[in-house]
Amino acid sequence: MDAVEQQLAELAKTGYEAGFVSNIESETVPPGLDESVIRYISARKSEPEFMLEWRLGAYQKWLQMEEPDWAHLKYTKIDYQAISYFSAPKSAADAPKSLDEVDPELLRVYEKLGIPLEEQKMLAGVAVDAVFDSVSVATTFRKQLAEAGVIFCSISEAMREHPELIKKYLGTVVPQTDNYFAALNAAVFTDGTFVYIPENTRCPMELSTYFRINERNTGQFERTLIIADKGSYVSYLEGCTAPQRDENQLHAAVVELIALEDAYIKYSTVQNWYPGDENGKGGIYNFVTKRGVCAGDRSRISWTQVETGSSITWKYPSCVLKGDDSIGEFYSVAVTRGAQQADTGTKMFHIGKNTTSTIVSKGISADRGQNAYRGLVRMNKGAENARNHTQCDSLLIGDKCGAHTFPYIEVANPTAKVEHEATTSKIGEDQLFYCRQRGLSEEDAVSMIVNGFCKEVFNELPMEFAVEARKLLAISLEGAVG
Amino acid sequence: MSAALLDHYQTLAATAPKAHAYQAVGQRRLSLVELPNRKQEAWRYTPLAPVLDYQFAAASREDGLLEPEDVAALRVTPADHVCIVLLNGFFMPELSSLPAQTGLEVLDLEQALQTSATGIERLGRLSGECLHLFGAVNAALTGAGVYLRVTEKLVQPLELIHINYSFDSEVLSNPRVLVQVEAQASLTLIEQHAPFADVLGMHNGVTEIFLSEGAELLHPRLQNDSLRTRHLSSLYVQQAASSVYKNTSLALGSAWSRTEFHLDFSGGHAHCELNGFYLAGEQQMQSMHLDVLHSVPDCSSRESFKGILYGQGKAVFDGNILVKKDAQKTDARLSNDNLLLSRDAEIDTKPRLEIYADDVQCSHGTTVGQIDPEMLFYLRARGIPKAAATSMICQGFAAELIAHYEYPALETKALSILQERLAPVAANL
Repeated sequence: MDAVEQQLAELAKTGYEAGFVSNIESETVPPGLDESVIRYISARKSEPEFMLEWRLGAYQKWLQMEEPDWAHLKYTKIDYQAISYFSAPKSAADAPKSLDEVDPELLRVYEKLGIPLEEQKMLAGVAVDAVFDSVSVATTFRKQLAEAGVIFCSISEAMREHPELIKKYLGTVVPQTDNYFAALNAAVFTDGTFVYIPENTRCPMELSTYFRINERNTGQFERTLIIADKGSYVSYLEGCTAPQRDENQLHAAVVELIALEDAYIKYSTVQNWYPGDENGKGGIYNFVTKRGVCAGDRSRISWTQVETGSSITWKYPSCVLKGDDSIGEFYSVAVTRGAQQADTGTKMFHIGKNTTSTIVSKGISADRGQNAYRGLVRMNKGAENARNHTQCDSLLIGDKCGAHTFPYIEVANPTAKVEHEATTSKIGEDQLFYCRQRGLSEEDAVSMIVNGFCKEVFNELPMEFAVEARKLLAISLEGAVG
Repeated sequence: MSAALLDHYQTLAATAPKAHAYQAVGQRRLSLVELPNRKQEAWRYTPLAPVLDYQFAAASREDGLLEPEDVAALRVTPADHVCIVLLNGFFMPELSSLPAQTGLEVLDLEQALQTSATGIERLGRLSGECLHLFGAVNAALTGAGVYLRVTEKLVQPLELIHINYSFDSEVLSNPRVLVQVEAQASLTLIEQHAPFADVLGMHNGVTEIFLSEGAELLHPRLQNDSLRTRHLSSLYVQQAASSVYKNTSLALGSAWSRTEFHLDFSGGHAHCELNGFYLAGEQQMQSMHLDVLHSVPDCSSRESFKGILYGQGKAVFDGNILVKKDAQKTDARLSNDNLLLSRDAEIDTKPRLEIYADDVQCSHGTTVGQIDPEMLFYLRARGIPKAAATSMICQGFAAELIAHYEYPALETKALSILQERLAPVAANL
């Protein structure tokens, strides 16, 4: 009985934390952005005073900034005054009543991925209050985490409960005025995740937003802050392989990671937002700023991403290697097909001595997809014996797609060693012939070749994720060859 | 300051003698162009003060005075070969040696324009609307330079020597070299930028090369300007079907240099090889920019660049290979390797690939590092002193590229300049 009561109490609490208790229907701010909207958001989330000032500062800077146009992307200009910057979850009336009303194409994909029925409902945005199984899983996890001293909560909650940590770390990695989209995010972010791992703690489980039920529909301007204190370890999973229903076209998230001495943060993303129809219409614009600081000596940050969704992807998860002997890693698979466009890559700033970074980027373009790798490796003057190895490979499927590589390498220390290699090729007819001759269908053969191409990246994903990612890739490229 | 500089160049353009209609393109561009700045992708990483802080005067034919003996000392080809001398950009017949050769036409550009020589109408076709301020200045001042037309397979190499030397030191020379190699013809064009006096001037040259079907051009270049000179070379090459172009460019001298390669294919089965080496020491800045456009199928290109940096040297490598939608079966390889010998040297490199066709083989590779201690150990274990071993390794690193000259006298010359520059550096490492 106690356990159930506790669960219910937890549940009630999480409901409140997300900032909406009642009157769901009336909680959408009219489209447009000005100071009053920001004041409203801040007040609604009962934020401390310093947060409001921080947001307003970001907004003022944002007004003076220009939308970047250097990326290899073409899209219709975003009308920032047409977006509503605070909206509570869509009311039950708008959502599909049952799975019968959901796009059969979406269901077919769920089926292929082997997603349980209840989860399918949640993902498709079917109007159910919550999936009980997930809730209980979430609360059980929370208890276990609390025992370890790990703080894992929404960022709004963290602002109220742990303002000292927020004040100390928020915006230290991605300053509020870092770039156009980061400034916009700083001004209007509505929610996100906060993680703090105490000293010498190994987080007892892989953390995933997937289990945080209070997070729904706050994905538009999300802000994630992860702090790994000395000697700690955490593996964080973001997103999921199933295509999620989402009403917002523009996503401008910010992720900040801080690894102190000897800490290790592993951040894995599978992004499969709606890519739009075959002309890219209605697809998600994903403009994300992700950056981690290896602040302490011997710290390590590892980014792994599998990007298959969105019509526009603009994303450069980066590492600032400040601590001596720190390590930065970036493993990426980006798939573009249909009219999808991706301009993604990483930045590695080597500041400390003996810092090491590894970049492995695999781009796959099919149909009319445009896939660009854009990366920067900077070896500062003090980066004694720093090392970088970069490998970016592109695979082209079809004669209308494009693959581009824009690496920037800046070296100001003679002891630093940088290697960069890039190749572009298509699936060889000889490879296909070889597989088909041995009885594999063309689809299986392509999937096998592509998975082999991406192996180095998938190996970095947590196991369950890797299995799903493999399936996802096969589905994403279904029918692309032949 | 920027307005004053633009004004200055606009005035130069307005007062320049009229020789060709293309000057109007340059003038128009000058009235629209923005000064180069580091926010522009093409000038990212390039320090610009060394060229934008001066209002260089336009060179004239009367600047500088040289004797044929001065030139003889600079030549690498035998005395009976054709050797063209451009002094401050102007063609100097009295300094050049011009034995008649069948299949070769050498004309002062001004004269070629006046007499409407065959093929001269192509002037400006490749440099087009001018990419930047200096391109526009060159176009607006069109007149100085030389026109070469080759109609046969020439066995003897032709030498072209650029000398910047004037009584007033801060002059800008604006040569335009137009090379036309007709179908099935071939030529070896050895180009030298030789130091004559330690002058603070600027070389702002544009070269346009047209290779017709099956034509071949071997183009070894040695830039060894004085260490105060500013140097900008823009090369434009258009290759018709089955033509071969092989360029090996060394940038050793000048305080600030930029070499731009703009290459385009207009017919299938053409091949191009661009090799480059830069030495950036003391306070030199060397930069190399490639813009290789594969717009037709079945062409191949090899781009291989290396650099050695020491002192407060800075180098920029910016290579772009663009494979257009229809350019199937393209085979392009780009590599850039850098050796850093000192604490204060800096290299910025961006080898880019932009690919819109699927049946292609493209790759690029880049490395930056210092001398491998194991190599050094190997040599020292065999009794070679450290300085000599270091110098030997550097020479070896560069020699691989210099060998692409395929002309021993030029190779020897380049290696000895390199040796002279690197010996004191190696001794102090």
